[in-house]
Amino acid sequence: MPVVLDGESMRVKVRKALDVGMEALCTAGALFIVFLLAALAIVLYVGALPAIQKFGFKFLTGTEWDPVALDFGALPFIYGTLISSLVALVIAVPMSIGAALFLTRIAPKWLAGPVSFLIELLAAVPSIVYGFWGVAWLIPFLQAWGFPFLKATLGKIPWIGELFSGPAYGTSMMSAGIVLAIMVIPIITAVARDVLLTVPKDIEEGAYALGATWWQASLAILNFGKLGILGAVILGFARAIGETMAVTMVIGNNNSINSSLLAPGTTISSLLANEFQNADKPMYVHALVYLALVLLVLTVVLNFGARLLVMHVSNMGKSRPKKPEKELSPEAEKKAIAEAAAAAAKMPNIPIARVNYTVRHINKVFKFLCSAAAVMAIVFLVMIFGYVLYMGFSSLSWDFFTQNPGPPENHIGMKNQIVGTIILVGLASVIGVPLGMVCGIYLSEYAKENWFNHFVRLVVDVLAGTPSIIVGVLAYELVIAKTGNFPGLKLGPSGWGGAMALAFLMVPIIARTTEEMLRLVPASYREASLALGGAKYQTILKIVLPAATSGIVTGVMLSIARVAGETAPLLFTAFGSDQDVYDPSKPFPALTLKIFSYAQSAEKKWIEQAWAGMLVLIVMVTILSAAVRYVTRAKKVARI
Amino acid sequence: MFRLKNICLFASTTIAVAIFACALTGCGDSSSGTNGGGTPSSGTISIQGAGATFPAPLYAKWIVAFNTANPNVKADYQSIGSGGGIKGITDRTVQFGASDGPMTDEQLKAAPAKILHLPTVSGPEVMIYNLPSVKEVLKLNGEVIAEMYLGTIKKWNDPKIAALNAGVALPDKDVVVAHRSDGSGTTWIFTNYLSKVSPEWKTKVGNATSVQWPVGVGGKGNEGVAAAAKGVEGGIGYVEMAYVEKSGLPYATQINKAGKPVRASVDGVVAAAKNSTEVPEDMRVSITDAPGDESYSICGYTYLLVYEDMSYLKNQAQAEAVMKFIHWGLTDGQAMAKPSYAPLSDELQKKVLEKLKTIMYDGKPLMK
Repeated sequence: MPVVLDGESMRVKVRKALDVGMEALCTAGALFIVFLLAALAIVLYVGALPAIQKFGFKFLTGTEWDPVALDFGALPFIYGTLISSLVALVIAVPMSIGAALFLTRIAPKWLAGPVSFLIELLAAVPSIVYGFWGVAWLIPFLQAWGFPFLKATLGKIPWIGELFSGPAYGTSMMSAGIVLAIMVIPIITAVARDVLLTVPKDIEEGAYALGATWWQASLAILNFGKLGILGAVILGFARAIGETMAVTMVIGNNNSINSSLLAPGTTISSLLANEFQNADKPMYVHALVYLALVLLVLTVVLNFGARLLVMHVSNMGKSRPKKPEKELSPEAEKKAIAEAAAAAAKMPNIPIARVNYTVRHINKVFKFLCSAAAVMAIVFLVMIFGYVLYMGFSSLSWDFFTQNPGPPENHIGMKNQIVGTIILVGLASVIGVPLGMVCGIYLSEYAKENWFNHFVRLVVDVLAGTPSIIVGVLAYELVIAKTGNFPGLKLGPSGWGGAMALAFLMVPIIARTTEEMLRLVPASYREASLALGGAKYQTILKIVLPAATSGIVTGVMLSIARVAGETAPLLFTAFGSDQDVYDPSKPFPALTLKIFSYAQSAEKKWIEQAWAGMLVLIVMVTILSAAVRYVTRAKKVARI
Repeated sequence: MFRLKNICLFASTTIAVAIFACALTGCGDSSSGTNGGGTPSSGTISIQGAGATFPAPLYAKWIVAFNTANPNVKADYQSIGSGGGIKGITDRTVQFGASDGPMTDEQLKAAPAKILHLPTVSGPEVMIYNLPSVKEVLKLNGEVIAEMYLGTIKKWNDPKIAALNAGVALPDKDVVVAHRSDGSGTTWIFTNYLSKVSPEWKTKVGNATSVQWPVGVGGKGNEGVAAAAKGVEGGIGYVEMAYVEKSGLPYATQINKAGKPVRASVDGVVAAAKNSTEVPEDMRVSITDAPGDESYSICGYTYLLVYEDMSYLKNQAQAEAVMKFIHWGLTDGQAMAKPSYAPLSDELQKKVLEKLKTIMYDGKPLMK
């Protein structure tokens, strides 16, 4: 705390005040996020109370979900949520780490930039596009080639074969896991890549100096950045657990537990997406809210466990006071040396040439695998983009950009939806980006290592993993609802409600990545600034933030890409509109809502419009990502 | 104790808490009554509706025609699903709701005031099936479909199915039923039919927009059901007729209550409506399993939902605009129904128009 001395100049006093102000601002940001989670927990708890009173903990083990007899049990959904996310991680994590290694250590500089941009584009694909692509292309492909292949290979292995037994339905847990993996790869890859880029060169050089191979040096680098990579994996896991729309369309929605991954399943968020709006009896609604509460608790538990893991892993590297070695007498020492020499003589004498041959080949294999991972990610991107392009391009026309929606027979387009999405995302960013950044700065610069700050980090992770439909419910209760337990600002369905819902989604992602990136800025930068007489706020604003710009921009772009493609939270908040009305206090148009509505209709013209809309959405987010990346590209700065 | 930092922290926290508490308890009420309507400065009245996806293309046509004929009114309809429509009208976030399944007694009780059901059009549901080896069009009846969905008929070459399809070579494949995973009016109509033809279904599963399906694969929306049925050989699912072309699958001929095979069509629905039981006073009527030779068995009305007393809108011009739109739809709009939808019979149309006259504003009927 800066002490104000007598006789200090005005300038110094202002500086100290600004320091205090900055710290207070950042702390307030962090507190707001805690309040957000508290509000969510309260809203959910109050909404679920009658169901909690009726079912108690039996809810967690029950397997019946009967909306007519009002008998509810959550086990199949908990199982599905965990298994689908686990499958996604099993597929995505090796691929992402491989791709990140490719981008930082294998690819030549001219290739790394474009390839990493392309992989990030996977995050720009809206979740409903993943859903429709999954149903239209992926599932037929899996049924024709993928699943028979899996059954013929992995299905024959004794224990693992169980996972691939039974008839191969298209919509299944495996399909959901694959779609989730593709959605999660860009997140883990982008963050892991940024982490690996900030590992100091001397780690690699030290490894080589000790005689390491390329692969062993890579392992040393991964080991140094393991905390950051673990953070990336947690972020990816949060995304997988919270995904609603894409999973709903490809998982088969069968409310039972099956040992086979090829059987249809269900997840908590897909059930909520399916049934929330149509719950007709009060106890049905309460049971659904109870389920949402269970998901929240599950997310808290999983994140807490991951945090413990992170703390354990980071403790492993810390130096601990060594036990003093016993002093050996000269004879004992001679004996020990002789024993060591004898042991060394017993080791096999492998010719050096042979060792080099093996090492070279192991290196080749791993380099190939890493490159293959990056190539696979791009293949996914090309497949999805290509499919959307193929389906949507022919429907693009002048009308599409100048006309508003209407009946299929007319000249129709999605003009107001496009404008609406731009405005909504803009509003959400204006609210969400500063809030998220301020919270991230707090966690990295001001937070001491106490239980409160661990709690705040936990809160951020939990919010990052909350399914978008629950965030929509929260925004609805806080900003829109007129009746019910929490009358809010009484706006009614409106653009503000939609923007708030999207902002709530953005904040935890931005906070998390901002914190991670700021942490990676070497302490020496801060120390140098303070040594030169800079105040803390000056250090943060002028030295630390600029050094982490690229990584923070990654986080901001990931979150903007995410919310631009969100549908579920806008369903009851922004509501949608076919008019040229851009008043945020009224029902607001959004591209994703119209795409969702049209793609599920039976009208051919509407379906074509939906695909064209998906194409336009992806292109818009891509252009925005490219523009921001270009503007914030690293300027050539001499590194000291 | 009174350090500057702590004071700033305390102040900012207090402000944040205050804003939050306000958000949670609703002080500083901005707009009153409803939103998204009223009379903006330009003088246009906007009315918002939302709900069922089934009549969405028709309502879109109505809106274009109505908006053109009434330039000072801007009507808007968002197809978010029957459940969304019911929720919207209950929460009063829209001025009129739309639903394929009528509201249940509990839902009506939960609403702040009395809500009226106004049927507008009706349409058929069909059973699409995926049996590439069968060239002929299959015939099915209610009992067989119910047993398929109960899981008691497990194979396509079951004698009960063969009995209805003499001379057809049915394969020895599993029956995989597809159903809606999301709540929907389509499901309501389908389970309503099954409850009528199968006492076991009625007791075991019931009639609702969302039920606990004994067997089968779920899909989101009509096209989810179509995809699920298409996804496995031996699949069968219920969808709105409009989705048949999209699915590329054949659909079964229904053997109706009179024992006659009927292909799904608008005329079949019109016949079913004509031959159905008397329409109750609140208009929540089911026309499934209707008697009569021409009647198609699986069909139902779609309803518009409005409050009997529109005074809550606090805007007479807006209330009148809603009435005008609905009246238009029930009269001029009916001509646009065919070929995709079955218009109301003359008798029912008269009854619904009579119902319109009971809608009040400030104690006086809106429609003269």
